Amino acid sequence: MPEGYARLLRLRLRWYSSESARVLQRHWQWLLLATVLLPMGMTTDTLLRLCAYPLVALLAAGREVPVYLFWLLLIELVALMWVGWQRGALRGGPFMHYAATLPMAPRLTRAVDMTLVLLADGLLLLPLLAALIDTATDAQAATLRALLALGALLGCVLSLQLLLLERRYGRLAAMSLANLPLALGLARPDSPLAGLLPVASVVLLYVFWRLPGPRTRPPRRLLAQVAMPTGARALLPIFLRIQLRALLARPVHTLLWGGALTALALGLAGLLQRFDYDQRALPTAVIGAAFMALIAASAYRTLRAAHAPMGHYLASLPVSRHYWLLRDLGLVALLASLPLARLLWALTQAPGVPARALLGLTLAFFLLLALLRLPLGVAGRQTVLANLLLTALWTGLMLALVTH
Amino acid sequence: MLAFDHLTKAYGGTPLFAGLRHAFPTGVFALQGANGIGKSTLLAILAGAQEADAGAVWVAGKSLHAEPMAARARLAYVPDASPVYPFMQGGELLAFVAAVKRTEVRPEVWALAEALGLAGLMARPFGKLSLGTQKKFLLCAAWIGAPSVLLLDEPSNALDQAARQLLAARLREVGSRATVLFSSHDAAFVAATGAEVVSFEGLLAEAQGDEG
Repeated sequence: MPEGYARLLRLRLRWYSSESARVLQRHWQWLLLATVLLPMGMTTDTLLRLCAYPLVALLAAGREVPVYLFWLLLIELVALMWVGWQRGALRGGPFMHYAATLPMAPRLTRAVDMTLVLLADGLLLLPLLAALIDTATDAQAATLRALLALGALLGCVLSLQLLLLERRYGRLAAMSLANLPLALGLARPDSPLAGLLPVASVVLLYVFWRLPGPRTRPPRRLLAQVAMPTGARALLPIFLRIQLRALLARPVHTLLWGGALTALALGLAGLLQRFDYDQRALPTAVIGAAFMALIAASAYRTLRAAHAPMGHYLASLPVSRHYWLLRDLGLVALLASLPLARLLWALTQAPGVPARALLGLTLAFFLLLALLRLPLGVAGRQTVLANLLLTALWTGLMLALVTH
Repeated sequence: MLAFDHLTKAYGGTPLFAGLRHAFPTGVFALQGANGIGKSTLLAILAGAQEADAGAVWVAGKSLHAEPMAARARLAYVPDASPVYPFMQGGELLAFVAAVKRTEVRPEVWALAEALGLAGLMARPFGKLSLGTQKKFLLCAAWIGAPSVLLLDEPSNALDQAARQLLAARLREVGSRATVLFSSHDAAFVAATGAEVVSFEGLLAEAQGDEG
């Protein structure tokens, strides 16, 4: 092992572990919450199999090419988000700006990047292992082709993650084309070429990787431009522009936040439909609204963290102490009203739910959303737990009201 | 136009200063003193950016404690390090300060920005600006709303020579109608502004004399 690689890897590992520890320390309550919310009695084996479901579905025979493509892209998207979330920690921090001025071979930096990505993927590789065990115990699927497909997928995932890490965004779309032969091979397992198609994917990956090409602008700016076109930007009040920029400055976080709220709203609407809008509709909507408020309230933290460095300067300006507090409450309420509207719309289909119940739920939702801002100022690191308690209390009260 | 009385500040039980009192009329004043003596803290307290442990501040006759909004509407503060969001654009900072001061960015501020070479940088985020350019934007923001009191912490730091000269000229000019108090170790810059030098050690001695 070259000495430069070992030295750089040691440094980067220390940075990665310290940054990860800092994030874990900051977000341990969310992890605890996730553990608590896991269905009771679920064993590690079941959990692993659940996580491995997309991989198992990918290896299941008898589907069309678009279905396999969907699963492939979904898995890669999850893997990209996983690395995107940790990008700052994986890239080595500000030290790497200095290291870039040193005569280090790009190959060395990439080797270190690759090692760190593999380490970071440790959690994601567990479902892969479970899928491998699954295929090995399934006589039909336990073929060399399945293993080859998983190997090619791993290659795709790692290449895409490295591209994201190196900010070579323009190459992402081209590289994802390597999924095509892989999906074709999975859809046509009886074809004589089926075994070769995953190899073709890997070859395509290599070719695309080696192709010269310009770097593109980072998605953060693209996202900001898409979200705030010039015309609209001019119409928005300055405080709203700052708040939106604060959210867009953390694109992965904001996308996950918006995605979770949208998915929850759509999932709840689907669930109410499945219940045929019977007497379970209102209690389900209450519980769903509670989760919605809990997720929506996490944006307060992002906004507050963005405002913090400017706090002293703001104190010298003629604005009230609650300038950002009130505006943040307003913005989060505005954004959360969209998924709430979808939920309420679904609830209007329920014949047994009167209009006053809808109005009551709406008012109570915004009250809870406002209340969930309180712990951020007083509970410090226990904010999530405090929010959880508040939400549980609200849910209990609301369910008692609804059922009586 | 700027006055403070019995200002006291301590960090973790260690007193930084106690019983500071002074009144500055219209004009330009350069606050000088050794590193770490408390100049930046004093300026931050006078601007309302930091709380004093005790004492009172008046900005153009308005008490910073009793009438904070009125006092802040009359002052401008430029800290030593940029406190602005990294994602915020220079033009947005000017628009924001103008909005909260319930005024607009007047032609003279645009002219100052142009003279400082900021015209083409209005849409660039602060995180992508050099330290000097960030400082220039903060200095431009200080001219918004025609403040009666300007508090500038090391305003010439990180500025290029042309910008220093321009700033010195503007400070001399604004000193005819407002109170300008700035801290600086840059003797040439202080001389160029025509500022009256105020020794922080002198203020401390004055406060100790009062106690005695």
